[in-house]
Amino acid sequence: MKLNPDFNRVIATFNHEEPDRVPLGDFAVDKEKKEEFLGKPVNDLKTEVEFWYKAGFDFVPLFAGILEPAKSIGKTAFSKDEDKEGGVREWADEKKGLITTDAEFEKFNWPTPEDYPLDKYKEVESLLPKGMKLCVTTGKIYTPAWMLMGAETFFMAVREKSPLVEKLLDKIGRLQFTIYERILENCDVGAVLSSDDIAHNAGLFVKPDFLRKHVFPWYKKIGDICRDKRIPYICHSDGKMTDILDELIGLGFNGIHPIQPNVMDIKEIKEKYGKKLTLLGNINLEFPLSLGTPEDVREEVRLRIKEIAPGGGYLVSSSNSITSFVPIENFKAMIEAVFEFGNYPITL
Amino acid sequence: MIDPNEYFKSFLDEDKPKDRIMETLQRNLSEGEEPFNIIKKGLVPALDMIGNQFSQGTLYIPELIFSGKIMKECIEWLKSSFRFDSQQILGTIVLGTVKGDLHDIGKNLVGMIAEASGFKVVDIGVDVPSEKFLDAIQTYEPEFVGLSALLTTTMLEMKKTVGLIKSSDVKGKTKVIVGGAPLTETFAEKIGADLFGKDAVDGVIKIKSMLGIK
Repeated sequence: MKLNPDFNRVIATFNHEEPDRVPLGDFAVDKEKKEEFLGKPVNDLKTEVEFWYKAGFDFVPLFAGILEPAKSIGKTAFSKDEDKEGGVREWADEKKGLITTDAEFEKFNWPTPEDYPLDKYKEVESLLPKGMKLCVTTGKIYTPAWMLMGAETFFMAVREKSPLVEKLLDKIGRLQFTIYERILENCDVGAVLSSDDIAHNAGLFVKPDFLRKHVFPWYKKIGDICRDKRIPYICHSDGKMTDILDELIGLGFNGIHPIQPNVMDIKEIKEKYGKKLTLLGNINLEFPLSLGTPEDVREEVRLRIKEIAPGGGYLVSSSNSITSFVPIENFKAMIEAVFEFGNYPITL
Repeated sequence: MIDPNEYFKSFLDEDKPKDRIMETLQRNLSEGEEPFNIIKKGLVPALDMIGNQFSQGTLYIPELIFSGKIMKECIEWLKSSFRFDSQQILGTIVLGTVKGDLHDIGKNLVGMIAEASGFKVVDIGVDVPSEKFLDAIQTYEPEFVGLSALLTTTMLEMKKTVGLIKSSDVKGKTKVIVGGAPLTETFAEKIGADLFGKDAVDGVIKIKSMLGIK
């Protein structure tokens, strides 16, 4: 497998042209999987960059702003993860969170944009191998809100039109946007992934009108910057997003990730949206990535490239992320299959 | 006259849903309707309608959670105000999230809808080992046990629990239903579960259907 990172490959794909090869499109890989892949600890930006390079990617994705409020802002639940030696997983509280009243909102120790300096982005820029670009994961507006309130409290508050929900989303939106805007204005960013899980397997968690009023305006503001800078803007949400794809395009998104195969039909989306959307994902995390063999993974990648990649507009990625429980052989099989079957023109 | 559509609309009322439902409920009572019939012919079908729309993606989690909670309040109020026959309980369901998984909102939704539909629900919590599921089945003798998992890793724990239940002497007496975001019908069949609920509403509908309840 000859490594030849080239972000122009990604750009050509987003322009619905056929570059030399289909690019890889995952934006998140669990730390322990990166370490297993490299065979050494990944505990600084140098090894982080090394991982994405050696794994065959054309970009290094970095998170921005409040991304994991369960971890960075406070209340968490822990469980032992038997997949990881002595490891733990952390979850946001699903019932009553940290902010359920105006008093708790005021008392909360809110971070400021200055708590998120640009140093790590600048450092990654300086470490990038030739041809690679920095990409940034932004967009967490809805998710921090429910995590801070606790899921059940949040959903009840939405139903009862609590002003606290609006206040919370406005506060998070302003904070996140300020952080994202600063990164985009000051760093050489190749593409932006807006990552905010707004859907479950049957559809959106909350009414589209609620999202239109309190969440989508923030997505659009980032989309406007991406449009001005002519960089790809990708929407990530788990779950069934089919019903709002037109609206997402209207907000400035030109890519969608991760297209869960159990609830979204990637072939239908390709047929319906053609050059309006670039598709990233759809290699099923459950099977074959976690529960199948490397041969199962290879076959799934081959099929997906055959069906979706002709004409550009497709990046191979898992249907979620590369989690700690994906066998390393399966992750490697996915990458190798992209290098084996993804060369244009596709003649599979 | 009991009209489920009236309850359905009241559940979704934008301004004062609780007031609307209580008004309808009080009117039905004053018309001489039996409390149990109000639940059976009014509230339960209305919640089913909400559930169906949720499964189709045209209603959302806030409406579902809110309706379930209000429904429970209505039933509790009716129960405290009138005598109920315990035989009117449709059956018992033991619910839990399997070991290694702390997520319970999906399980809670199933419990809420099942309870509102007339089942007795025994929630044994999250991070539940296989043996505890078996103990609960032996204690409560439910018609169904529901296993929930949100993670791909805990899907495998689910397999272990279903295996334990199916190899025990409760096999045949208690049916197993599994559900959770990463699961599929094929996986449920493969691990030997009797039913797969693709979401909370679908799960309760399938339980009712297997028990022959309309």
